[in-house]
Amino acid sequence: MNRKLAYCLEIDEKICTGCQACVLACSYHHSKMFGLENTGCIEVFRNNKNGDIKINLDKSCCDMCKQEKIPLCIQFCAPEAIKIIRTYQIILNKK
Amino acid sequence: MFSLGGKVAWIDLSKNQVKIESTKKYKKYIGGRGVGSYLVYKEVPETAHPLSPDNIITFNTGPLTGTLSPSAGRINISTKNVATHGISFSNAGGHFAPELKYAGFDHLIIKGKAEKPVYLFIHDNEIEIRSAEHLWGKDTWETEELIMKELADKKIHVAAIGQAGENLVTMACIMFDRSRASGWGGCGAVMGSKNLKAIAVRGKGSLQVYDPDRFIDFNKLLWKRFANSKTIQLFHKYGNLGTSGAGGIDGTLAQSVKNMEDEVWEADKTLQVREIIFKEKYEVRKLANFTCPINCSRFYHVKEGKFRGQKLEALKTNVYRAFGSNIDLADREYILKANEMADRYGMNCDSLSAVIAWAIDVYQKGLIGKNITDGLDLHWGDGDLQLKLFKLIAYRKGFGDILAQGVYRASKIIGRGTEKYAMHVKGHGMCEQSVRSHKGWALGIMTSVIGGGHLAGAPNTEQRRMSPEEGMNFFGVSTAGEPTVYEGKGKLVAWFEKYKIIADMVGLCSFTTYWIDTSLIGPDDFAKLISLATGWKLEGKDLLNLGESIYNIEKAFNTLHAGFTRKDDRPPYKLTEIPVSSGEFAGEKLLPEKWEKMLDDYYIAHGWDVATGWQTEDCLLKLGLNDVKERLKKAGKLPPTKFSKKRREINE
Repeated sequence: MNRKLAYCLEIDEKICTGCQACVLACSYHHSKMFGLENTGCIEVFRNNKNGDIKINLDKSCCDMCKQEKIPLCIQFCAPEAIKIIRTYQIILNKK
Repeated sequence: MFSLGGKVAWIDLSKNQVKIESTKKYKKYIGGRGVGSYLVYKEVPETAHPLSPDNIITFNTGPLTGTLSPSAGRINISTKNVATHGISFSNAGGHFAPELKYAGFDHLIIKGKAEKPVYLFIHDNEIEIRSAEHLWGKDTWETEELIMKELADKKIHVAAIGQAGENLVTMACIMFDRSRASGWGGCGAVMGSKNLKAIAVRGKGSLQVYDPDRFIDFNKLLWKRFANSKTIQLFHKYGNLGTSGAGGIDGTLAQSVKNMEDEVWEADKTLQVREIIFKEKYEVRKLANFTCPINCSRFYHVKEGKFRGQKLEALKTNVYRAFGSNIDLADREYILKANEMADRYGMNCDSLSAVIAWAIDVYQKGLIGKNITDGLDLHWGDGDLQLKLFKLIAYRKGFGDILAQGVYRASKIIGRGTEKYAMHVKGHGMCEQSVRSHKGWALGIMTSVIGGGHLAGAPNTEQRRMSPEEGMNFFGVSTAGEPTVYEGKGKLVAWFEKYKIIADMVGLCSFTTYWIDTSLIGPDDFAKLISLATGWKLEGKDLLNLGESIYNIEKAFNTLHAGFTRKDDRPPYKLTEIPVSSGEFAGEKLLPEKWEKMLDDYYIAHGWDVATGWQTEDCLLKLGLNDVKERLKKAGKLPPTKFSKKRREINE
């Protein structure tokens, strides 16, 4: 088993303001369209009753916006709730 | 069609019928308020009462709604104004508008009256008219919850009226996503008059823009401008309330105090309701409108005291003034509770405050007694009284039934000299700060075609103390930043009136514009955004011309439907007679002679007739509004020849 340095995104639900700009940025990156569903890797659910914000980030679909210096969702996150996290990818030995 | 849902829905509730047409037809008016005002002008007959089936109510998105432009979540509502009988437009945030576009619709035009209460469910290119009999009598929050439960989808966005709208209260508003209000013109009552309780939307579609790569690059640039703006940084830090609400961040900004008797509130009271205290005691998190880099909203949780357990997204600057300083109430928790109850009943804070503060004022001045108020003892600073009056008004019970007609009509009904204390513009209730000291701000509020409010053209340049160079550079007015100066303000207001329409047409918030900071989105930027999004070739000057045309259509609607003239652009008694008591602007009031000169300048800037305040043939022809000209001419509402007897009579 080998380890390879990798990066992924982490979104802080406490800092997020629920504006969904990241969802649209992600949607644009993956489809060149603007929409909230089935077009990107981020889903933001806002509960207006208790102020909760829940975020689903599908890490398997996120490619960190390869062609961009900084992932688009970060560029469009005004409250700076999205961070790049250094992590390790585990590569399983085929044998 | 790029960047559009593509469809306009005409919903006739009398016939239980929906007709669909292409949005393409309305390209000339861009979208939002442009299309909304045009349709109200075109469709509503002069004989139609605002609460009759002949009135229409339109819900309008713009070409940037639902895209990644800054704060692209605004919905515009245009209809015939219940308070003024002229035009009404208002604008709410939240996430309803983008959802409507993702569902395939750019505009909803609703007319007629349903036989029984109904609500609309709009989802993926379809519109269902469903029974709302089980929702009638519920408040806006309960309505949203019940609809989400019924449709088993928590991603639905709901626009609803509360009991006030059902009971045709003049200041009834429409609430979006629980806490976002479209407040003006009694639009909630118009919905109520049509037996339309709510609109629920759910859209799973996407929008394609004309030039995606350049569109995204330009928006990246705009996003950076917001991050670098000092004004926006203040919003991030203090929210909507902190910048101009509780007297600004240093507590010294002018307020509306005790039925707008003064601009200065006692320091000990102001200190009780500073943003910093709300932040420390109740703030749970910051919230933002759809794709909004400003995040001016806050979610509060009251953890102790009488209203323990209260949770809500709240406190815009006007709400704080309306339910706080204007009734002399410095109790934070009562203000938050008033915010909640106004949202639940569905009532606009400005006009609600105007009528309540007026009632207390005239009671305290001895002009009315308990025989009129149904035994209620009306006094300042009473949070329980305020909540009680909300309920009486929303349900139109007893004294509340008179107040429910709005401050202008209530004062006419009661008479006894109370009329001169009614704070209204063209019959619409008013609760504003700085209207004695800040002359351009005051002019923009008084000339506003919707009957007051600072969102038609009142410039914010005076509050920002804009430098003469900046004022000259952007607006050709070197005095733009001098609050007490009358000169130049006519031109300034006329400019802002046509410019503000652009944001309302495209679907962005006014906080993204020069209104807040000249480093943000200007006319050319708007043109670039629309061009990249839709492929329509536009320049900033085209948008300003279109803004001027739409303002003229709205103005013509007022002349035709409400008969307004120059006299309706004058401030109420208190503002010309009672000066500011103390502070930086001590002694300031609106001087009638100077006001008239400023008004002349304003009409000249628009190309209107100075004597009557009406539009001229020349001005309308120049804007290509020949049909408007003909309609006014037919109604005898184009200015008569110079020095004629009629010309003088119009203003008497």
